[in-house]
Amino acid sequence: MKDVNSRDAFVTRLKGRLLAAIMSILVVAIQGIAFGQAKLLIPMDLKQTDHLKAYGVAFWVLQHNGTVDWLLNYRGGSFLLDFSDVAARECRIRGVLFEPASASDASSIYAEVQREDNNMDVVRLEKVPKIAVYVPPTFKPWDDAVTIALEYAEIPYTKVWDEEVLSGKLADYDWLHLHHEDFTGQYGKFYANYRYAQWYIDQQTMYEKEAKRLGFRKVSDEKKAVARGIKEFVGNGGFMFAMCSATDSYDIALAAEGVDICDVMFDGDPPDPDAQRKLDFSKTLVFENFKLDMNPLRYEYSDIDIPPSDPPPIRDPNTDYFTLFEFSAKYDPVPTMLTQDHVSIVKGFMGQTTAFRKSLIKRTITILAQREGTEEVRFLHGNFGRGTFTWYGGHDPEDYQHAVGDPATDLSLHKNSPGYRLILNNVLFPAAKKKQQKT
Amino acid sequence: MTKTDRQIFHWHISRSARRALCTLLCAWLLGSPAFSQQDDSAAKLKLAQSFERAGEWEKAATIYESLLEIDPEGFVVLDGLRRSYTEMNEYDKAINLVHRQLRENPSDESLLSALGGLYDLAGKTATADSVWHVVLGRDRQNANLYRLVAAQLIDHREYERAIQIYLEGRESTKNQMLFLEELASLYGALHQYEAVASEYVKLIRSNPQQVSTVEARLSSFTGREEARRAALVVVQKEVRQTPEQIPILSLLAWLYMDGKEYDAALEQYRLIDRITKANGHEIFQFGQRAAQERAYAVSAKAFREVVEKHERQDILPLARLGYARALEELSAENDTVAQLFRGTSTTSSENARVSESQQTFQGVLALYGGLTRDYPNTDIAMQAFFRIGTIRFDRFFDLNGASAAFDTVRRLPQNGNLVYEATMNLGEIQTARNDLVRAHREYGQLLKIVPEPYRDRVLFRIAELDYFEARFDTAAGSLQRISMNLANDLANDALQLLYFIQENRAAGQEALAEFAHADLLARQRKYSEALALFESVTKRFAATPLLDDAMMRTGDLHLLLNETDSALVVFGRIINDMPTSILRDRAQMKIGEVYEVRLKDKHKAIEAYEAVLANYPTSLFVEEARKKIRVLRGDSI
Repeated sequence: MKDVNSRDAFVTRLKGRLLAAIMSILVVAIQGIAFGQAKLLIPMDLKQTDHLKAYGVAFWVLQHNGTVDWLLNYRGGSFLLDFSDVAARECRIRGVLFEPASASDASSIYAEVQREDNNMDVVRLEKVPKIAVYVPPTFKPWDDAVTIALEYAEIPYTKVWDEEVLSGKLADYDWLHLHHEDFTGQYGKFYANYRYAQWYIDQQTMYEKEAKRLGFRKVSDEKKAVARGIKEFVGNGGFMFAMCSATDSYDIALAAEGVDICDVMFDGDPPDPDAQRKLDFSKTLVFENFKLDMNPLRYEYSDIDIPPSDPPPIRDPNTDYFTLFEFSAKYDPVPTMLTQDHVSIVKGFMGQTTAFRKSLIKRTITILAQREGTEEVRFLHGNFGRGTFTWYGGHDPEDYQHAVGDPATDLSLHKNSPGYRLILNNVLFPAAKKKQQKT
Repeated sequence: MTKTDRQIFHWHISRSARRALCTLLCAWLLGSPAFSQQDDSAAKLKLAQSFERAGEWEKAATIYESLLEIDPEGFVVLDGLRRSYTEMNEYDKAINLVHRQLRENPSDESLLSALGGLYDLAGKTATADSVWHVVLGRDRQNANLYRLVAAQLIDHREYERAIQIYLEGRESTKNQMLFLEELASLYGALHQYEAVASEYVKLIRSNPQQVSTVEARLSSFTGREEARRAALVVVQKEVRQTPEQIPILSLLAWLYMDGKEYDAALEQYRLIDRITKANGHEIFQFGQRAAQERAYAVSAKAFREVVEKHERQDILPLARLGYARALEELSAENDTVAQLFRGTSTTSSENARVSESQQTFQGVLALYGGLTRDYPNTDIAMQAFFRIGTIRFDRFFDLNGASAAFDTVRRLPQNGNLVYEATMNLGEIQTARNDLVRAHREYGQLLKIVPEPYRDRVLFRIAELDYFEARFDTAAGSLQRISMNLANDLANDALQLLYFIQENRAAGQEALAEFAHADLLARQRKYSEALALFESVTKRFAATPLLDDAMMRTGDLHLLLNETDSALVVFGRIINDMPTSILRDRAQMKIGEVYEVRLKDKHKAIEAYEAVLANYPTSLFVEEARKKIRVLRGDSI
């Protein structure tokens, strides 16, 4: 009896404790609902003091196991995160403007963003993207706007080059960036102006050595293999972001698989006289029916680039702007994410590849930005296999006509650069939680 | 003249005229198409060359082909057509063209090597090699033939093959000194730095005058450490084999200097000095170079050696001066206390230093003293006196000692900028002695003689004196003038003091005068008196806008007196008790700096800087605070 009684007493006590625990949980939950979690809003409209570092803060939150809600089209594509003193302090230290938002403020924001008649939506960022940047070991700061942006925003990245791509190491990353690279093996077509420059000679020698080390007879063969490796990375679900000449030269390399398009000064033997006809446009990601420019003395790869870089176009920077297209945030979240900005008309900038000729772009590609009234596409996006790619024309959004040897742009002088924001949108894109499309 | 004679004469004349006319007519009939054809060809040639320059090879080739029909042997046309064919990758046509030229000039080796080049481009490597073999076989001792062939290969980026041709040339001519520069350049393109250095070492061996040229060439590689290291290995080996070659030792020393390996460089210069019996001159020159690169320790070592050798009277005084200067700089590096006060105060920062490193300066002073005694009335003595004055004033605040030294500089026969500087310092000394009348006089006299760059500096000192003596209108007038010259850095200081005066005139003449006097006391390094007076200002004129400024000065003075806790209290009061003060952000920054520099408390320093960011987000100090936080927490920025 005693045993039964004591067991009953034990069960009763246990039930009591369980009930108490459940009650406590309920109280906390009710409090949570009633008082909610305070939030920290990083507005990305014209009030923001440092747009570029704001992306770094969002990334930092992800790195510290937090989540960030990206409020598409809400005040320039703002970020909303759980309030904490640590996060607030980090914003202050990085010079990023934030606004504390009470739980009710946050509810109002969410309600506004999710209203059907507002072209806004929420995308939850919850994964830290692993970022790789494809650069040669000797790359110079003036070579690459993306590394400048990543460094400034304090977003960590890993440098990879040919060996990593060819040995399949790209599978370790979510995001790959290519900049000002020449996948055709023509060394950027700098031959006419820089063939006697020490940096050009060194670069060519280094590339030739690397190609030989990796078992290729020619740099052009090796670069084409690298281009195919990157395509495989995208096909397997990777995200590729390319700028400047890495865009058109990449597609040219894919189209010219097995075709020699390089003149003797590049690979030591004459090109295939029938190279143009042998191009296979079914292998490219973006462009088709382009015409190669095989003159080694011309600083241009093909007729994709518009305006052509050789002779250098004469333009007034004050009137050179391009327009970001508006997409439906709820139905087309991906292009909406990529075009988040605090302005819709962005200052133009030149590059070896400045813009893409619209008539040569495949119909499956989404055009994100274009120079109004022209054939000049500045920003585009597409899918291949399970992955996606975004290409951005021009070299440096804050240096209108960047020349070889010019110093790197100091982004602390361009904290609110709309052009650089377009680069950083891409960096956060792979952090987004995939959600069911409405269409 | 008879009629017959006249007839004969007329007949002769008319015959001559007829002949001339015929000749002219024939010339016109025959010559004019020829001339026109020449003009046409010349125009076509120019057009073809223009197309070539524009990269329009096909158009150029078409014109050249038409020209070739008119003049099948024209060298310029043949050459142009060959270039155009080559660019169009029409190698067979280009090869046929060269064969055609060779039929006319079979002994033209240049043409033959170009033919080899064309075969090489066409991918017919074996034929190319056999053609070049023929070229070289014509005279195996002729270095230029090897150059011709190698040039073709270099054009085709076949550097290794070009190197082989040059090496073959060396073997055939039995001259290992041939093609040194050519090979060095090729090895450089292949990043084979040891080979580059080996060629250049040979070049120096064959022509020691080439050291500077070699250094210039190597400097394009030595920016890369691996290239410098490779060159060092080669040159060191050469030195071991032939130890007393001055040009090679110079190259080795240069390589060390280039890599900032100063001690190793000094070792080489010692050797060079010994071998050349330079009696210290080489070491002296090294000391000067090291000082220019701010490597004061090794510079001092070099100068000291020259002094101790005591062999070259011509450089001895300069070596002694150099040694003293290097030691002075080394002593100054230890004097870090001034860091906390740099650029924070309106008037007294320049000389507000605490001399922690007095002991080390004593030795330097003795060295300068020796120079003044051993080289009286010379430029060396003048410089030594000036340095003595500067150390005595800046480091020891020894007004009499400094004054005597600067006075001597002024009395020495040499003129120049040192005299102006010495007089400026004398004015400052009179200010420190509280003899403002004499200070005024010094500056007034100086104003009459100084050139333009000094004028604003002198005027600013005069304005400061007016401020100290409560002549605020006069001071403001001078400051206004100085601030107009925006090209001058002093414009900022002038504006700062000017605004301070203008803003605080409302506090009343008496309050501002007392404040200015306290500033003067601080400038005279009478810190305790200045502190007492500023504290009095805070009490007597608590209701005036001067209060927060006086508090800031009080805090600074506590720091100068090493009263860190009191300083923190004062800065804290500015922040907490003066909600409308515009100096709160500055006070908050000061707290951060005290924790960072004086108390070495990283966490509290970060907290203080974070408070700047949190409480004063629009402050001018925000960027600096951010940077300091990031440095303190070890971010890679």
